[in-house]
Amino acid sequence: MMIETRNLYHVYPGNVQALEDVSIKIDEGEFTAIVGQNGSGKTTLALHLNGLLKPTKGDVFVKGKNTRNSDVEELSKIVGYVYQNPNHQLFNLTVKQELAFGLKRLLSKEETEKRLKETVELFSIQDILDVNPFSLSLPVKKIIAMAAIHVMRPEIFVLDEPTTGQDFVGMKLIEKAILNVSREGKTIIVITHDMGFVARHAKRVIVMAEGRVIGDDEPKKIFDLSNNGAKRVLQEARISPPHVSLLSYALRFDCNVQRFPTDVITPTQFADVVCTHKLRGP
Amino acid sequence: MIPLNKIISIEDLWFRYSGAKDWALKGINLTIGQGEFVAIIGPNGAGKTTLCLSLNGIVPYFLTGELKGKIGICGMDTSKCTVPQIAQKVGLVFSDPESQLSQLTVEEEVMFGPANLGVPKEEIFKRAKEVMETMKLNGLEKRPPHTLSGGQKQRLAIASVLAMKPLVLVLDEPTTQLDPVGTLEVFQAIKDLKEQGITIVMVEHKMDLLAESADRIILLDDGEIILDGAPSEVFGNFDIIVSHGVWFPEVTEIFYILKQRGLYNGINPPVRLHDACLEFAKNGW
Amino acid sequence: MSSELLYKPGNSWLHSLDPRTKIIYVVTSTTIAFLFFNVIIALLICLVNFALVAWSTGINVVKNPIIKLLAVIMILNVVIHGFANPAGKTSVTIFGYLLTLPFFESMKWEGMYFGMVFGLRVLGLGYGALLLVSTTHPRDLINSLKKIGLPLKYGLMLTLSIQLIPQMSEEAKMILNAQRARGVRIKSNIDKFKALLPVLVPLTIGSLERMNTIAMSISARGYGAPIKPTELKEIKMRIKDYLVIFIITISLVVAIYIRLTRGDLNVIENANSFINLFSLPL
Repeated sequence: MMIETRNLYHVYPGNVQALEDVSIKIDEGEFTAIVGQNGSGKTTLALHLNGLLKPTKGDVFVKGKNTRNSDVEELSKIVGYVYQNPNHQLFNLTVKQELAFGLKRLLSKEETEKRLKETVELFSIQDILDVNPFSLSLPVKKIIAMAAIHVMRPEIFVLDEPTTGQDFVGMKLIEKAILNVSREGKTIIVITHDMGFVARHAKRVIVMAEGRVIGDDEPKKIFDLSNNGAKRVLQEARISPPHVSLLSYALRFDCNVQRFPTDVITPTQFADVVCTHKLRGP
Repeated sequence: MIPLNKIISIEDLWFRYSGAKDWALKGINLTIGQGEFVAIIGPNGAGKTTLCLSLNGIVPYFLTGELKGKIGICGMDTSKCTVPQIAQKVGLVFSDPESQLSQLTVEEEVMFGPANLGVPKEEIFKRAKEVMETMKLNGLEKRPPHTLSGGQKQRLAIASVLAMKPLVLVLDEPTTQLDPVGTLEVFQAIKDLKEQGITIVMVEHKMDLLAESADRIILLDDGEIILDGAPSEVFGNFDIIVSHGVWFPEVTEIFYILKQRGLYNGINPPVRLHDACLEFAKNGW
Repeated sequence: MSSELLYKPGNSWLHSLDPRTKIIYVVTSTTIAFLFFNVIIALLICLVNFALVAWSTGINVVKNPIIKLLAVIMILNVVIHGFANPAGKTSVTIFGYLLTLPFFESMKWEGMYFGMVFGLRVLGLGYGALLLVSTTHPRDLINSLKKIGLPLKYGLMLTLSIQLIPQMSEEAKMILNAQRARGVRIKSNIDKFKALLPVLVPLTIGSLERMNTIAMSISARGYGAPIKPTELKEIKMRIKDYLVIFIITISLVVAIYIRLTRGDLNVIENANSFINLFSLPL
């Protein structure tokens, strides 16, 4: 097991209760999305994973290590944290320097070159190695920030709102990069508001509200509006499922298409259902 | 002649930033009537922000360059007015909230705009209370803006412009840092303003919500208007949409996929939840 | 939050005074200290201001960095003037030992006296300024400056500059955390400095650009429109303000009178004993 939190509480100065009794376990290789309103504790939870925040009560274990006894530099070797704003993470003069930054002190020259090559290929950034990161557009900066973390080969990737503020093209680039990393077997944790993204890629969704975990299941179940439990969770967390879920639900309950399946959450799945139905005949 | 019946009238607008090689806007022709809710979509770098900034005079007054053509807003020719003059009628919410918050407390920020416009004190306090309520900023009045979260800053930026009660409200990606509820609240507030006759121009990437609320969608790419029409017209142009770096609302995407599989060949696919529902139910699916 | 600003909110008497009153106090008390070349007077003013600061704001007077800085200035003044001031004639002896520094003669009483007077004047001014800034909200301070003639434009510039430092320090914190998450060891202040150095330029440029954009956005909010702007906050002088100003004026008049009739009360002509040093000629 990669990550475990046991009865985790976190209180910010000024008595702000950010996390309340959070106990979750995340296994190796899982692709998990953490969703919830702003202020629900998503980022607070994520910041515990690499030790930037320490529990007020309870414990956080990363690969068996208790984060209370480890410092950020150590945990960062296991947990790569990609910030929402890449401007806070990039500070070298060229993309290549940015990627090599963390490795210089740890590896030999040959090993560094090898790692760089692998990462550069994975993220398809061969053409911009000599460019100043600050001059790049936002989605590309985000990818460089991710690559700079990837180069350290952490086993866990935490991405804070990777698709926010992106246009469609940028979003696709980032999605591709995240999927490539996931395919390598890394554990991925994405904090996001983009339910479409969650529906398309996440295998598990943790729903948070007011510092507590109120939902933890696969996307199909979380977004299944025909299930009253799921509905309540979504209402309490004040998030709405992807539009396709709303459509499936509306078809069943407003337009009386009784036999429409309840677990359709992406356009492709919806189209598949329509196709099968069509092929079967009216 | 600036036609007075159209609240926004742009004729053959070309704009190139000082020192730039390429034109940011190429021959834009756009008229918007009062009370319309127009959404502008397009990939990054298409010129959407430049277009927004030309609606309140920042282009070309502050962001200088070569400008050809005419821009008429609320009967004013923007090349003959200063930005503060135009601000009396046009409110602009920038995409980066940080770059428009300048006062020392939240409530001062909200009151700054109307105070500059000489609105009477009592009215300013009334408006401030209203917009802070609408944007859920209650309780934050005395806080310095830089201590707010990203989402709160964005809501503050919007509130500060709403307090000016502009005739035309221009919003450049106003929901990037908001959670789904916050986003819905902004869209709802904007819908309410539209009911009151305010003209809305909004740049956004959230197609699902735009399809539900906008009257008109304009696709901008590489400085040119590619498509301009009702949501179902615009999003129905599958190939054009795909080739210009944008996407459709989720429900429309279903029809796109069906078209690719040869099961759909309509030209105005539903873009709204309700319409999609009816379409599918009608066909007995 | 408010700990980022120098201003400490509170209910003390000083908080309730008009900022203009406090400005007048600081200016007058410093003038009086400078009118006389006397340690006692400078010390008195210093102590009064210090006491007012401690009483009305509850600043931790031991840990506050500004107070520490002022203390350092004081010590430096005494030491440097003690050794280097040419008015020095009588050497300081402690249990028969002379205090010497290479390249300098021994420490002299007259020099020390000079140092103490200079130092205490600066300290008095420092505490006075601290008093003003910690009991007055920046907005009220700027408004009152505008009322006594500061042009609107400069008032706005001041407002923006005040926010610059806290903004930059927030960004710096985020950047340091991001770097920690990339495996950089940041423990001591030197580490922090080294870590921020490469981002210093983009950070400053970013802040300057933001200033520029703010100038634009202020215009977009009607600043400079051909209309008289509405006055939002009324700052009024009240009875207690006039009372305080009255007392201050009387003190100033008395001080000027003494200065004109009795000179600058410099007690160091020739110091031979401690008693001489600390007595006021009557």
